[in-house]
Amino acid sequence: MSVIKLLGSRSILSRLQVSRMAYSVRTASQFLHEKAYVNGKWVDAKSGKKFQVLNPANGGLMGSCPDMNAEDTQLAIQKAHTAFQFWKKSSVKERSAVLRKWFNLMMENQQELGKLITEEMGKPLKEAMGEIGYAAGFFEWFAEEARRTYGDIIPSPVDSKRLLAIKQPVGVCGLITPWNFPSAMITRKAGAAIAAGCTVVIKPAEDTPFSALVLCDLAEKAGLPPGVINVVTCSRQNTVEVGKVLCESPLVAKISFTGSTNTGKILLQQCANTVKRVSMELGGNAPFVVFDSADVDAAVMGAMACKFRVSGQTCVCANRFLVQEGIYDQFVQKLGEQMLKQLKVGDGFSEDVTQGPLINSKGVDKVDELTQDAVSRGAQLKMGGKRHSAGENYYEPTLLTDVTSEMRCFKEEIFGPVSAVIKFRTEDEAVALANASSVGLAGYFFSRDLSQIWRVAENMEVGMVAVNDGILSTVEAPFGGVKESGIGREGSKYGIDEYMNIKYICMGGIQ
Amino acid sequence: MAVVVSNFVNGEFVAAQDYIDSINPATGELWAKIPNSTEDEVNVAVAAAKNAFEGWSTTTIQDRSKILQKIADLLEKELKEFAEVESRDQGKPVSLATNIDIPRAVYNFRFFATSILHIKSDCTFLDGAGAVNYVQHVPVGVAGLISPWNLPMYLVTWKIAPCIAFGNTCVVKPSEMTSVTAFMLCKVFQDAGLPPGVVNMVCGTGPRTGEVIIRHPDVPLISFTGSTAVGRHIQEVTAPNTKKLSLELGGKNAAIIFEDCDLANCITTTLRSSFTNQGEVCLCTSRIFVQEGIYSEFIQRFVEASRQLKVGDPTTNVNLGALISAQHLNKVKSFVELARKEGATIQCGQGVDQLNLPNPENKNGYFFLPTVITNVSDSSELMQSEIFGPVVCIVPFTSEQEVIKRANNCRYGLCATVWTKDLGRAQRVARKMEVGTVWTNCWLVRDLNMPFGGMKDSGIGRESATDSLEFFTEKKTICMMIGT
Repeated sequence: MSVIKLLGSRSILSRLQVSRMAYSVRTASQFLHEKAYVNGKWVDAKSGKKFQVLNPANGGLMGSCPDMNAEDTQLAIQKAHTAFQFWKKSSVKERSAVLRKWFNLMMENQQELGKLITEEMGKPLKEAMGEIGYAAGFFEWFAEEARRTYGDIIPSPVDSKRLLAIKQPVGVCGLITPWNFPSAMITRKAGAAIAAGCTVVIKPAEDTPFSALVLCDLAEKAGLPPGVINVVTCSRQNTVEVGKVLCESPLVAKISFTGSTNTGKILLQQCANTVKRVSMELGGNAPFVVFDSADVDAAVMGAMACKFRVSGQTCVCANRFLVQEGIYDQFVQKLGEQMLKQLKVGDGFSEDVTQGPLINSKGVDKVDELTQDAVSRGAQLKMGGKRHSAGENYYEPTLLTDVTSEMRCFKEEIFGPVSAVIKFRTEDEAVALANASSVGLAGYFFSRDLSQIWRVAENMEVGMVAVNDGILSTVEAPFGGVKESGIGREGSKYGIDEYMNIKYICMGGIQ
Repeated sequence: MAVVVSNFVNGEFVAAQDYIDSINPATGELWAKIPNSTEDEVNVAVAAAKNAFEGWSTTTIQDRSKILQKIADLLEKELKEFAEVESRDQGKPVSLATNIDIPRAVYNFRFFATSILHIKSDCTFLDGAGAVNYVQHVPVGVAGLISPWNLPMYLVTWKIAPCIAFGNTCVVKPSEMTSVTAFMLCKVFQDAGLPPGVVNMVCGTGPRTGEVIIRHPDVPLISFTGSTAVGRHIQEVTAPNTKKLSLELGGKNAAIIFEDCDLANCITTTLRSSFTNQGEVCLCTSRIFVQEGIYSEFIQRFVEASRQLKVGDPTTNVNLGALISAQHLNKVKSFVELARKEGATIQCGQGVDQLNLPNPENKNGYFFLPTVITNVSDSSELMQSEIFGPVVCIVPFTSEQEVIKRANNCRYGLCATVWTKDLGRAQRVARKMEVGTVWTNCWLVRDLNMPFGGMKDSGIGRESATDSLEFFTEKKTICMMIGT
């Protein structure tokens, strides 16, 4: 029996054991980079300060990173800007080849990279390795897209002119990324930006810098020249000033941010002065609608997949289950059964765990607040509703029924393993409920009525609709929201355009 | 799922470049990976220790005492875990680690936490000159602490506690065969609020990591427990830097058993002194001199008692666990082979009795039965070289004068036990034994206030409340001219 199992997860040895277990090919030290990466060099903060990164499963110390500030960020921007001057001149074939190699390297080291994710932010190792596959897929996709940035030759109204539209990279891009998909949130942006010919300065979430830093190591091995990818790490304390520098710098042409709606609004304001290009992937409040016409069993399975990925901590997780009254009781009962059957809470490195810890105890507090608010307003607590004994960052999978639109869990993004179920009578009511939100990222519904499907898909105010499916993310499809969920699309054939300008060239004087 | 140990430098856990395997002696399986630190990695640790010295050496005695007590408290809370891990790393029974090793480690911190509060020093008056002379003990600097694999926590804390209590900082290198509990101890240091850099740990082998520490010009103090051969090497390479050395080396300890002893008690205790911790303690008895009149009876009863000892899985109720490594097992076996070649008699144990290991997990473990050898000459390697395993030689003697000479005919001089009801004789014999500690009618009864250490090849220096003060501080005479 492994000594860690014997001693228990609260033992000192468990808490010290960062995920360096059973390394077959390379040791952890080769993947864990405790320095930032600027202009092809591994560097410390000028101040020498560091901040700690903890494993949320057990509070253990994973490592520490440089705590960079405005000055460090300015330097990184300058280096990225210098690098841009030659990277924009590289051929698309060269850029494509590097991205392809980068994809291969990620896949070759899928398990080790997955382990970093699990250790940094808790998702089960299977999910983490899945994220690496997904993340790497963006490098593969944009390796291909890089060579297809076609422009236009426009039929001219006059003989003496020829009109062309070409696409050019925007410049240095500041990428500010969150902790829930520490690898994919970077590759979907950096892949597009670098494919386009831009250079990037990345500020990853302070909870998850290591997944970002390891990408730089692989980039080097893939042949990416110095300065094209830069990662500036910083603690929560320095986040605001680093973000501000990126937004306000005239040398940065574009900001792409994934995170909370509130922060997105602040960044937008900060970008206004330099009239930056922006991409925003902000909060969601995904409605998951189940009509009487649905295949209820399929809907329940879809609901499980949609709700409990990353313990409910994704922007496209089902946030509100809107269930028609005809099949309401059936759905609730079956959902409860599947939650009991499928979900196992614990350390993401444990074999059969499906629900890792939340990112930190503040996250748990918020989830608990929303749950208690619902219960106090009359929701029925069918299971869970409290912290899990596995540790201070764990919450029990929770099922709330008879939820109403007055409750906070209807209005706010839960970001935790809580299923909130609301009963509705008519299709119009469902669509109205679904649209009763200032955000609109993803929406899901289950129906077998073809006309209903077209109506609801067209009427739902969201950027992405999944019909009879709980999972919609894939690199080929445009990912993004409407309303306050954001600006722009990631992935798909549109993704690279976010990092390009259309330049109209008018060739005159032709005789 | 191997446990991976990190180094501990400047208050943080640091991954290393290279790792070596650490084996669980009870199963022969890899269970941990230990950093094999390079020169660069050691240099960074020494720099951190040097940096932290200014602050730590000027921290008040009261504050240092508080932190050491906190360390003791936290360690005591986790006693069970430390004992289980120690057993897994070293091979000793969990019960031994639980009852002796870890409690003593806790006590080491408490002992020095309190002893530093009661230091007084000398003062004289030179009336004619009008001067007052007083002595001040000041911390020295960075100490290199190198500890062995037989009593890992017990001995590493016996160095760390006085070192930092007296205001020094240190770079610690535990044996690469038993580094896991030292690694856990660093977490206790962190949690107790020990300032970063006061204790640093770099793991690795002697030749690669230890060598850098002992040669480092910024490490003026070296405290080493281990083999005489390495002790010799340390003296040679540190001589150019005139380093202060505390060396606790091997032993080949004698038990001297007179006819007028309390035989029952003697046998029980001598059984313990021979075989505790698989015989892997520097203080273990390895030469038993029994006066003629009780020789046959002693052999018979001692061998019978040895055969009763249980050897096996350290997590179960056994008297002996596994020896530390395959290499060491072979070394101990080779001594018994030598006995056979020399025509000595193997009364019990290796090659004579059967080892019974019911748990299949232990089939590749390094187990060895308590072995008693008679009919051996004083000049045999069996009576002169340190075996460091559960092997004892029993020889007869006639007179007091004779046995004293024969017991002293040994290049080691760590400890001895003397068994007699005649207190006068006990004192006479004890006075003449060329060893640092004599136990009469007992064994390993330790008062940490009393000097502990060896004569001859067993080492240099003594350790105790006052002796450790002498080693871990420099005594400075300050002369104040105050006038007549």
